[in-house]
Amino acid sequence: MEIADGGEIIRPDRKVELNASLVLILIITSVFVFALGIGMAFLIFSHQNQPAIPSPAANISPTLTPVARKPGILSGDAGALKLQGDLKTWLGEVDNLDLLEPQIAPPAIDLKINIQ
Amino acid sequence: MGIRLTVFTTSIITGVIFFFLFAGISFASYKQAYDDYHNEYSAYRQAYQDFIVASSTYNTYKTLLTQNTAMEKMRVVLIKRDLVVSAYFQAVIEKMRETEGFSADSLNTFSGIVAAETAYLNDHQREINSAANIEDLNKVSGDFDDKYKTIEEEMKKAIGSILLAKIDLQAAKVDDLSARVNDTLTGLQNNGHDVLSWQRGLITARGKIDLYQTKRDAAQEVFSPQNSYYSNQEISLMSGQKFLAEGQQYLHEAGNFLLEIMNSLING
Repeated sequence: MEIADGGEIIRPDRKVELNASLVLILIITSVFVFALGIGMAFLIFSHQNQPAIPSPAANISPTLTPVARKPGILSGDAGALKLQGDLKTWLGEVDNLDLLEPQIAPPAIDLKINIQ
Repeated sequence: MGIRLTVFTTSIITGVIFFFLFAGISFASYKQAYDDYHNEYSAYRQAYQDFIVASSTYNTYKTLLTQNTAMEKMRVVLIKRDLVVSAYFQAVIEKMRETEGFSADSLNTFSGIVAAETAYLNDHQREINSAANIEDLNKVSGDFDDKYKTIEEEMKKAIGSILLAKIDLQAAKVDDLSARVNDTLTGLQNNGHDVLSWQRGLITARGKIDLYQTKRDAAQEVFSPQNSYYSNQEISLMSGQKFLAEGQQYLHEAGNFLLEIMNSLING
């Protein structure tokens, strides 16, 4: 860069030169991107055209192997069943036991009622 | 045969009618007493608001008219306050009567306390009515304040005794259920069954009942203090209720263990 006598800046003319290796890299990248695009489009369209394949897990119901369960030693025993029922009833009573009884809390009355 | 059947049927029907009649009366008594108390309390709150307005007006104008009005409003609110306490005591007595398992001795003791406090409140109302000036009224109002500390403690003890009666009833039931489970296991053992694992479950359930008992005793100590630590301070309903809630949880766990034993014996 030079400065002319009148203070004017003189810029030298420069040519943009493309390096051969740079051009090669650009071409390779373009080809790669193009190929990638085609590949993705192929994948998407091929999935859309395929009939839906039901998942095996959804359709096949597993056959449960019955577990051989031994009945209890008091199975069918009337006394035991009665005791079981009484325990269930009692548990219900205990769970519903109201130990707060807010209705019978002492009344909120005012003290120090006087005329100054 | 026909006559016997008729007599038998008539007896049954009469019994059923009397049962529902008395059950209904018992329930109605508490409900009625509670409604009365609630109405007295509403009237007291209104009287208190009227007194506050009259007192404020008197303090602003200091005239004879505003003074008389303030005195009359104060007289009304003091009497209403006494009536609230009386009505509350009646509601608590009915609640005790209604509570299953509440002992007759405790009810008699509390009824005696209520009779004494009612006598005091009646005297107090006469003093309120005969107070001739502001100083007299302030004095009878202050007398109630001193007395109310005792009254409030009696109220809290009464509530505590109701709550204890309720949980004691459940504890007695679980003791019975636990004994029945034990009898069942003993019967099986005598028939040659191995019941060791179930017996361990029963021991755990009884351990829970023991833990319940410690919480129950702690609650009783709060409601009716025996040692100096609690007797020197005000009864805290909330502390007692907290102990009872913990006890209730232990009872529930004990019951669950017993039920598991029975489920296992029946369902395998």
